[in-house]
Amino acid sequence: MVKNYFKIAFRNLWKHKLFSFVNIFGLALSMAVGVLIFARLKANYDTDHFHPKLNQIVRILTKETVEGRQALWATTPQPLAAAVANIPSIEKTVALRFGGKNNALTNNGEVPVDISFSEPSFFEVFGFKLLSGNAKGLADNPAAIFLSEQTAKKIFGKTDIIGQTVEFTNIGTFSVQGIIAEPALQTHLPVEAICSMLAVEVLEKKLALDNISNSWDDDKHAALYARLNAENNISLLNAALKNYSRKKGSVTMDFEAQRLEDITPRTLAIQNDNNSGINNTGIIILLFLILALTLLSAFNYVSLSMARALSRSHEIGVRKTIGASRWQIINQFLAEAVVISIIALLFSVPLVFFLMSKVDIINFVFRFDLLLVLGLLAYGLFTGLVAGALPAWLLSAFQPVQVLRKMKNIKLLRSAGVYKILIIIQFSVTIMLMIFFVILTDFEKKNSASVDAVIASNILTLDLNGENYENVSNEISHLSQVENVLATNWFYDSYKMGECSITWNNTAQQFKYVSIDPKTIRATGIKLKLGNNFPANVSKNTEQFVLLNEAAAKLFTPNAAIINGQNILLGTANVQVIGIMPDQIAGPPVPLVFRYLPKEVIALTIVVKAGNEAAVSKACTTIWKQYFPQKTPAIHRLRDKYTNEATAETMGFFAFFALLVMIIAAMGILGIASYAVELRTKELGIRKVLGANKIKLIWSVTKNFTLLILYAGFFGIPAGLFCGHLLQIRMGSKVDIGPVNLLIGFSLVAFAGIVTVLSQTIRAGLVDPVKVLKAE
Amino acid sequence: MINLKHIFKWVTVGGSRVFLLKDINLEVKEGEFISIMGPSGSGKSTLLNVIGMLDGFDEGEYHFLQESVHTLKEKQRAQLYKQYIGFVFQAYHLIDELTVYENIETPLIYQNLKTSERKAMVADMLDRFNIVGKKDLFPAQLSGGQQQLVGIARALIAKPKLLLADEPTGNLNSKQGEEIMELFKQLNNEGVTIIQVTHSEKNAAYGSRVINLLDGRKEINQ
Repeated sequence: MVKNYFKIAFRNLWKHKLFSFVNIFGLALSMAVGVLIFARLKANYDTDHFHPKLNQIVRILTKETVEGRQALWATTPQPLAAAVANIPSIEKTVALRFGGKNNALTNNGEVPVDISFSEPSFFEVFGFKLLSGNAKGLADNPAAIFLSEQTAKKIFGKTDIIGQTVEFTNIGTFSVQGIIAEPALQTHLPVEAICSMLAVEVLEKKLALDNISNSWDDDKHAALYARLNAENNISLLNAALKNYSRKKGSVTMDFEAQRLEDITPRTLAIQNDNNSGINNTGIIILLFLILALTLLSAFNYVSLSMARALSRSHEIGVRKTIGASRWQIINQFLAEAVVISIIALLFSVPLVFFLMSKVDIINFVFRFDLLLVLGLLAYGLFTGLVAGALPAWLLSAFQPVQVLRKMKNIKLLRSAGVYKILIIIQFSVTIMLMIFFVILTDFEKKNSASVDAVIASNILTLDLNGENYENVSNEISHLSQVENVLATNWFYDSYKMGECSITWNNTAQQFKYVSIDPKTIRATGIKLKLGNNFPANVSKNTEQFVLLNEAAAKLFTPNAAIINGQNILLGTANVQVIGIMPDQIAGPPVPLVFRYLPKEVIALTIVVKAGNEAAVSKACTTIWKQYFPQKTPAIHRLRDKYTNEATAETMGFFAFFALLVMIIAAMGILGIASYAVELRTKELGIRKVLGANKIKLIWSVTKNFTLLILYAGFFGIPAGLFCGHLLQIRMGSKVDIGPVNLLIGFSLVAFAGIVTVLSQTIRAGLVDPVKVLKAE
Repeated sequence: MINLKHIFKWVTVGGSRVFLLKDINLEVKEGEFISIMGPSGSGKSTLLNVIGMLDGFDEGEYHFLQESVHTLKEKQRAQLYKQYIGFVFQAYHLIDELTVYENIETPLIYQNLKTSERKAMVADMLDRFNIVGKKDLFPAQLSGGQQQLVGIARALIAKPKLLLADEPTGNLNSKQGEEIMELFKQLNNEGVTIIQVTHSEKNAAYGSRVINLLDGRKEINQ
């Protein structure tokens, strides 16, 4: 029976190739996203499942209690490792110390690398394999470093680099002793680069790392893992760990073991645990996303099936007279839908690999195994059932006598009009997304235009790396190609912001502030809205003046002139507001206080005479090395910061979704339009005989679809406007939700939709009356 | 076998009843071969559909074998006709996507018969109708007569007691039509009760009895 269902399903697919194509292609597109999410969830589930004796490995958590408030940390004080090593239930411990991001110097500039320090047991307890090299270095070589394949490629461009050296800012030079093979599954452990624990001591002495190796107070920079003697010993271990609780002042630290397996999905309550994958809420959101996409693409299947109800009704009638029950008919339709969705699934997999190779943000281990294949099949089955359910239910309700009597007399089910509603829904969503995308693009364009206008390419920044700038700044300013050296944390945009509270007129407000060099305002030529710049002789030690930007002033009074010149309470000190700055040029307006705090400056901004950037950059490096030979200088072109990858990705994401939904909607309307022409050939033939010209014929078929798209605009445009409005609330008034953007978004979709319809309805003009009106 | 008593069927058009069937009384015994005749619109097909339980009626009683059809629910009726009645149509109504073999097999599939049983029954039927060589062809590849042969084979595969045929030769040329009528006669001799709707006096002559309909009413028997 089931075999029979599938046989018929395949033959039907083959017979109606356009329908099959539209259905399969539309489903494959959305399923590709579904498969991607699904595989991501699977990778999340599989995280760290590759370690041997997985069930015996635990991580020690710190439960910190401060004045009755508890917090769980995935990190522990570093001395805990040595202390617990003798607990009988522990077979082996692995201590980790986190070194954070350090920039590796490569031929192509600096590459940020996450550095960790560990001991030889790291490669014994965990399932990481060395592609080449020897783990011995962790035991006896403070200069040893083990790089993951990816990191090696990022730094050297290749992996056969044993014995080569790599230099990092801050922590110095290391020698590559091994390449860590990419694990088959995701891991929460930091394996970009592992150095020997021996290096920690050296670096702490050099002050390149905080000196906390022996401190029980800092529980944020080291982690401890252990392999137990047996799976069930975790309660023994937890009991033993009670002896290591510590109390200092109001802070109590307790320790408890967490199974490695329980780390992913991430538990949000555990802090310092950023690599442990997606948490349960995230998983649910992703599942909902799959469901939403499934429904949207299932719409096509539903609408096409309903549009074809007339053709199918005959077959259904026959089947019922020869003994089919309603359930048997339903099963047959469901089988057809499932066949289509499984085929679509097969097509979506190559699409997924294509996406993964092209889009960088999609970055996780995609590995086929039985569970994933079964999961995907279940997903395909589910999609098929969702898509097939409604048509199966409605079409199986045909009474044989209705369809067998005389075909012409059939009153088509009212539900056949379902497809119209579905088209409207699909196009409404498409129009909404497209309008949002247009508004976003418009906004980004304006932003980058205003950035372009003020941030020229001749501005460099030099990262101070915590050093005092006076001498370096002085020497750089004497270079002949340099116009200006500014010690500021703000240059049209903030490099670093602090927080302060300001009280005025009995209202206290929290503000972000930046430290700004008095020269900056002059150098940029910014025109103050009101008041003056800091005076040239402003005190470096006692704060007397601040400037507010308009947004900040607005928080106190609608008229900035009222607060300008007033004394305000900044923290506990009295200062005067001497000027009002305009709001920032890009992004949403953030209330900002401009202060002069030379000690907080983190970078120098160097204005170079145009064309001399490379020379100045080189000269700065030399100067820097004179003063700070230990540290590597970090010089960037400020402009480069604005080739904003994050926005590009967001835009790409929305463009992708808008396009995806538009293609799905277009596929749906393509199928229906094609069917409409087929169904009406006879009528069109008669019209032609009666004297209708080509244009009229084409219009008579196209008209209805145009109307549907207009109806969709009726819902889609307000929805798009609403999304734009939400964006406006977040990003400020530069977001333009005016009629032009709305119209562009709507027109794009309407144009695409009508062109798609015309590609089919154009045939209406070519109807040959002699052929179609021939007696049957 | 069949007993219709005062069967009325109507549709309401513009507030007044238009009768499709009017006071039909009919008794059919097992083994009869009945032809229903009458001009277009006289209610022949409607009567056939009522007898076949594909269509309901508004008034009257219908007894089929031991069952009172007018008291049955739709599901039970469907159960009844599936078990006892085979249909043959003027337009054959074969399923285009299925081969000859599969078309004949389908009713058995719906009865959840095992593959081996189905194979044997279909093979018998193909053999009997001399269409073994055509079993893997699709309906579109057959002549009208051949398609109707398949249609009849399909109607008979489930061993019905009653065969209902709505102008079975209407789309066929005279030679093909004759062959089909000969086949009906033979089937009738083997014990299958047959009721056919026909326009042709010649075809009606194959039957044992003729019922004439006019405007939904039974005319006096000849």
